[in-house]
Amino acid sequence: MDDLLAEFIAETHDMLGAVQETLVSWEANPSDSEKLDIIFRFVHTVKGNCGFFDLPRLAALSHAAETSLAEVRAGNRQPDKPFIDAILAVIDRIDEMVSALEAGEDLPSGSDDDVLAALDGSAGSVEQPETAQSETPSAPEPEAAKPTETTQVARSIRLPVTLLDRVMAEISDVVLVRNELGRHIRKADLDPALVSTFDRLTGIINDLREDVSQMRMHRLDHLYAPLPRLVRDLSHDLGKKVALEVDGGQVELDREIIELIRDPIVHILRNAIDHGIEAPEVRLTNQKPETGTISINTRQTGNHVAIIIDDDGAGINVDRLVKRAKDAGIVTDEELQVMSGAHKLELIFEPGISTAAEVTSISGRGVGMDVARANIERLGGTIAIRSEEGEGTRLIISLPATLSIVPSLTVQVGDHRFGVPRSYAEEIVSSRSDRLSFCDAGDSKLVEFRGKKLRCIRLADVLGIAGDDTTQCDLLIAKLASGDLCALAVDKVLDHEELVVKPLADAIMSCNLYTGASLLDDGSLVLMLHVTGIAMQEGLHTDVARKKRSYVQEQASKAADKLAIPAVLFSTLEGTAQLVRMDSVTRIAKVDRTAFRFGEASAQVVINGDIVPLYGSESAHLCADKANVLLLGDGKREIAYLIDKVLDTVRLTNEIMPESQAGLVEGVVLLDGMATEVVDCHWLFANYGTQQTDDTVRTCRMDLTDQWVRSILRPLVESAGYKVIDGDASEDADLAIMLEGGESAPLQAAEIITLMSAEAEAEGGPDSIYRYDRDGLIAALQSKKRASV
Amino acid sequence: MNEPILLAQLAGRQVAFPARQIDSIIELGLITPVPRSPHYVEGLSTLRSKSLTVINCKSVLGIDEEHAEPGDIRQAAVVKHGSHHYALLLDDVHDVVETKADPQDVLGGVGEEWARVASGVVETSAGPALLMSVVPFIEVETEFA
Repeated sequence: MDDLLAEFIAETHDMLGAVQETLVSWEANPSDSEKLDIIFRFVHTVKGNCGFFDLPRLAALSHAAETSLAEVRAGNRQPDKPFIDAILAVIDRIDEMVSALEAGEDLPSGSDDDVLAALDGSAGSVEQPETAQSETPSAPEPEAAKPTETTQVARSIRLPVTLLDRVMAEISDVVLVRNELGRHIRKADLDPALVSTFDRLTGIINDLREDVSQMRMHRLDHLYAPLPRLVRDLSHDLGKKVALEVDGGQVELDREIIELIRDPIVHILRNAIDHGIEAPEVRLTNQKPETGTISINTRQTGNHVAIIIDDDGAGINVDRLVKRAKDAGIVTDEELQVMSGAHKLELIFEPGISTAAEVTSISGRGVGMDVARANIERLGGTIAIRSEEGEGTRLIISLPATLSIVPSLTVQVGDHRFGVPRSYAEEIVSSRSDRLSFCDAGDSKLVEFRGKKLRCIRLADVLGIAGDDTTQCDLLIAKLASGDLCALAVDKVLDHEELVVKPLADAIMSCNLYTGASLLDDGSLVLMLHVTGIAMQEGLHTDVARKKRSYVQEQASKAADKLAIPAVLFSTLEGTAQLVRMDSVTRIAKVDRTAFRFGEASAQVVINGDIVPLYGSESAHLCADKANVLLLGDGKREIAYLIDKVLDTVRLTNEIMPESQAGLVEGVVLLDGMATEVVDCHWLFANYGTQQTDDTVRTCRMDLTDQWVRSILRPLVESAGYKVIDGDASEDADLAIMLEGGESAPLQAAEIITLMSAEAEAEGGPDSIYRYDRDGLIAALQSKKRASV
Repeated sequence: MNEPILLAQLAGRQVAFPARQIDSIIELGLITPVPRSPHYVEGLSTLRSKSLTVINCKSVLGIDEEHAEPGDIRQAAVVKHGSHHYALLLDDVHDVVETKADPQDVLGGVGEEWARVASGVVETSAGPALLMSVVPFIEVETEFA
């Protein structure tokens, strides 16, 4: 029975952790039936398990929650805010009781009527944990007093951490000796029985290594899972809107470390919500999205795990911070004079400092950041802060991972081999097989990857060693801790291995390129690359700048649009470079020379079965079999611009200096130091686009069995911009043209023009026209078109 | 004072290290170079599962030598400093002997580079030797900076 209860408690705890996160995401999107199902399953399981034990309160709670959730599932009830709060309150109550059971206490007595009433929707106020808590210490009711044998629930033993450390170091050595033995065995021609025994040993050692690492390691998920709920409750209390993004929960960290960083992380989150993220109104006036974002990113680099907490709130007011520090007597004016901005920010970690304008119940009393730092430093970690006023704050916590079996990729550059932690690798592409486009932007190389231009870092250049040309390399698309992507060019990505990373001497660490070294199975050493350090040396860490960029995308503010116009740079047949706005370009096509027609006044090209007016053919004589055309579109029509080739895509940030005379060139813009012409698409369409029937959506019904209609009337109507459909076609027609005295049945259309065979019969109005009155007919067609547009 | 010292050959001179500071003497085969590391760091090597940072003592002393062929066997003294192990590359290793007397300063000095690592001349049964300290070979950067 005790074992059963212990299992029930452990299981419920596990599920509680998982369900908290689900609840918050369900609240954000109540229509997500998958999340609803998870919550439903949870209360259902609790209810089912309660049946085995004498736990009437738990059973009642879970039963009520199950019933209400079932109604929502059936669509009979809307998951509105009070309802979600009520469900949260029930789950909190379940958590409370299970925790009490686990601690071996008697079940807290008291009534659950409050939360149950809220669930029924009959009570106005929800969630009153105070009342529940105040009742807890009161005398237990007889039926709630369970036999006290339930105290012994934990089935675990405690071990000194040092012993575990020793076991782990020994396992690491065993693995290395096994590898060395393996090499000897492979070299020597040995008895197969011996080889198979060795293979068995290898398997056992692998299992052992895994188990031993499990002894101390824990996924960070265990730390992160309750955070969305915390953020939700806190932001709710403070009337703020905050979204939490958590990434990297699969990273494993020493169990002890996880326990010790829980408080600092919670504290940092509280600070971020209380002081960082502004109230929704303030955010809107500051041109920020109403909902603030806090993101937690986790990266494992060699022996360290970095936890980066970003918020896009108000940032830290350095002046105020400095003033507080001075008032508190932490720094003097002389000290401040020599302090850099970054150093001043670090003052936030001094005891007794807070920049909060007022003290709230959540934070602002100035105890916390110093304690957080002390906790982290005690673990052998570091904490750093970056902040930009108005843009946000970033805290970077770096922690030792103690046991570092890092899943890694090994890469080859020249004669060297390196390891890269796999957590960085977003994707691997080969520039040999995949068609990647590279371009040079100043001294930097860019590569186009999934529609984005990424900075391409050639590792051989960074390390000053020989290596293949970038276009012959494998590219490792790395996701930096900031969330930015960049491409690392290596000669070859070799393999995926679990590497035991050992720290390096300070002399090597200080070049900030490596995090450690590891022995490969073949006995050779590889250096683990410090991807963040390399990115930093290449100037890729822009910290808060990332958020600025996302604002631009999100709000598409006019100022930003004006700032950067994406454009295509191409060279004309005469060899001049011209620019055309990206938005105007519908596609770029390579066209066979036979598809071109060069007339006296105009030229056309056939593209995909359409005749498109052609510009740029005046001085041209096509010599090659194929020519490049740029297809420009205004939404309805297309014009083909005959060009030599496309050179690049660029973003125009400089002002366009307008050309005084109307013509092909709208103006000139400075691009890489050259005045480059910008094509005026308006002029092009005004002057060259006219031949295209401009409004093909207008339809005209006519009896195409009549020969005169087919051969004489139809071209006239089509040139006026109508699409001709047959008399018995099922489409709706805007207009029908009938012949007076025709034999066919009356045509169905919104409007009808009747053509008279004799001039005298025509009434002269727009609806009745002599069949050879060309001007009259065209005028009628035009007026019908205008009238209905 | 009868300190055991390790007699070795470095840059054509006879030198001595306090034997107590030396863990072991090994022959280094494969050295993995470390790009962009300080010039005196020859690379990394291994001793069982420990990684060794290989320090070229001549480079520390500012003596450039012709590059050794990869795969050459080179002798090195393994020392532990902090939590890391280092291998100090030496031309040759002779013997461990006992000093006959305390180290004597050399009148007029031993040269700027040598003075940083040496603490005087000791008399041994194999003749005089310049007594070296281990730490300056390892903490080069901090002293220069």
